Amino acid sequence: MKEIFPGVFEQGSKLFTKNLVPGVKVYGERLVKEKGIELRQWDFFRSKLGAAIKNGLRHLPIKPGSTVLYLGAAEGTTVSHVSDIVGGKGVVFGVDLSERVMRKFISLSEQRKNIFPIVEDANKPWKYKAFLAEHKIGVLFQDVSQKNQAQIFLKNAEYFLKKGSAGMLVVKAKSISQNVDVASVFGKEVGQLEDSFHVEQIINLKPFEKDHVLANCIKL
Amino acid sequence: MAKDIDQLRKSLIKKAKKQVQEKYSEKDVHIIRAVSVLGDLDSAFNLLAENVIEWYSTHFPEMHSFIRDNESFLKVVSEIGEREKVSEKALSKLLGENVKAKQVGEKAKKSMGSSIPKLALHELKQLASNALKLKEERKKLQVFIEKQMEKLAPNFSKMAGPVLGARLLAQAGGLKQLAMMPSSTLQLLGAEKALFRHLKNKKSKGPKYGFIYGHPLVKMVPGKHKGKVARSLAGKIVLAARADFFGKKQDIATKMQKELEQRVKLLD
Repeated sequence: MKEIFPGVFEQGSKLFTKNLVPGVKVYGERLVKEKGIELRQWDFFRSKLGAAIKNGLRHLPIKPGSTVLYLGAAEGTTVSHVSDIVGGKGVVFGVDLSERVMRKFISLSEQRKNIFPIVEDANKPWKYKAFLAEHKIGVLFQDVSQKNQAQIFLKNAEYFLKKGSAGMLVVKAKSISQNVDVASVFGKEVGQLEDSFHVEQIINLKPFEKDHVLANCIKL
Repeated sequence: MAKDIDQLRKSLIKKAKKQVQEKYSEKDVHIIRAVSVLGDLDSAFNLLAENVIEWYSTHFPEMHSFIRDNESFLKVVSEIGEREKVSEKALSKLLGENVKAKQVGEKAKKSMGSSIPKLALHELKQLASNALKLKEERKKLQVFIEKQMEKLAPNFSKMAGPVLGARLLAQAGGLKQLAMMPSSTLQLLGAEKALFRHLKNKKSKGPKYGFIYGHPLVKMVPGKHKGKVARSLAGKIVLAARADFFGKKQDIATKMQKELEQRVKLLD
């Protein structure tokens, strides 16, 4: 078992995070005991952050103690691993609008003391600005399937990120256009970030996710 | 500090729960759930009926040629059973007067089917009666949908028809979304697959209608006019939805229906 990032472990081809709530599974993943510590296997077919790490992410801004704003929390599969990494001293704000997925996410946040659920539209950051007021957001993570994904990301960055904070944006090409060439969509979307971010790395999530990239960047 | 943050988390959870609850208390929630079940009940019934017919045909294959309707067929299986008991008299007693079943008794005697073991027939009868119960449930559900639609959106329900209206409502996600929708979008609700195929590849033609295809007015006109009627109808349905969502629910559907019928008459 090798610790590749603080809080993220690798063994063979598999990824793990330290389980914040020992004994409890979130989405049917495997639990492993290693030197008395319980680890949860990270399914990179179901988590885009997991897929990005698998495909050679160089720098993971989410660390123990980080404060993360997670847009597009959905049922909380990835959020649960983020919550494992940031640990008891970290905080994860999970934003999602759909009540269908929020059912699961709310139960997850009842189990995990560092998850904060917010049922709002990520397109309207002013609506949840008040809840985050006293918390300096260290990392903005976004995975929403909206046509204006880059704009949503920029809008939120403007509200919550300071210079030097990290941003991770998952771009889903199929949400933007059905018929244009995928590579040009990625170029255009990531290009929009360049005025306010330094784009550190762009990772294609093949073969775990089709037509997705993750842009890892730092706020200028 | 640590206490504050826990307080924040608790209040956020409470707020999120309330928001979910509010969403689930909206009036259209039950219609949307019910219409989704309606579709599944139909396919479940048809699937079971097909199986029953196939099975029963090992015993009395000739029957399917004079009882074509699934529901009637299943009634005969569950109520009468053995082919020896199937007679003209028994059939008209079970299914009403207009059964075209001359010389059934004769056919049953000369049947090419095998005799069926008692236990197998028992299973088959059970299966048929359970399938018929699904049909009952479907009918009740439809009445429920009709009533609820009438209450929620009288004009929209009248214009689109209650069940079709409920399908549109479910696809759109609610009456509000329907009222805000351009009529061209409503026209294609339910045809998303064809639409995106068309957008991706211009060689495949764009769809002219989605769920709306099932509306009596669209069904009635010949193929070359279906697109036109679907477009006009979608326009009126959206207007009705807007009247229901924003207005005071005064009846505008009757007038619009007449206008539409007039337009359909003027085609050709």
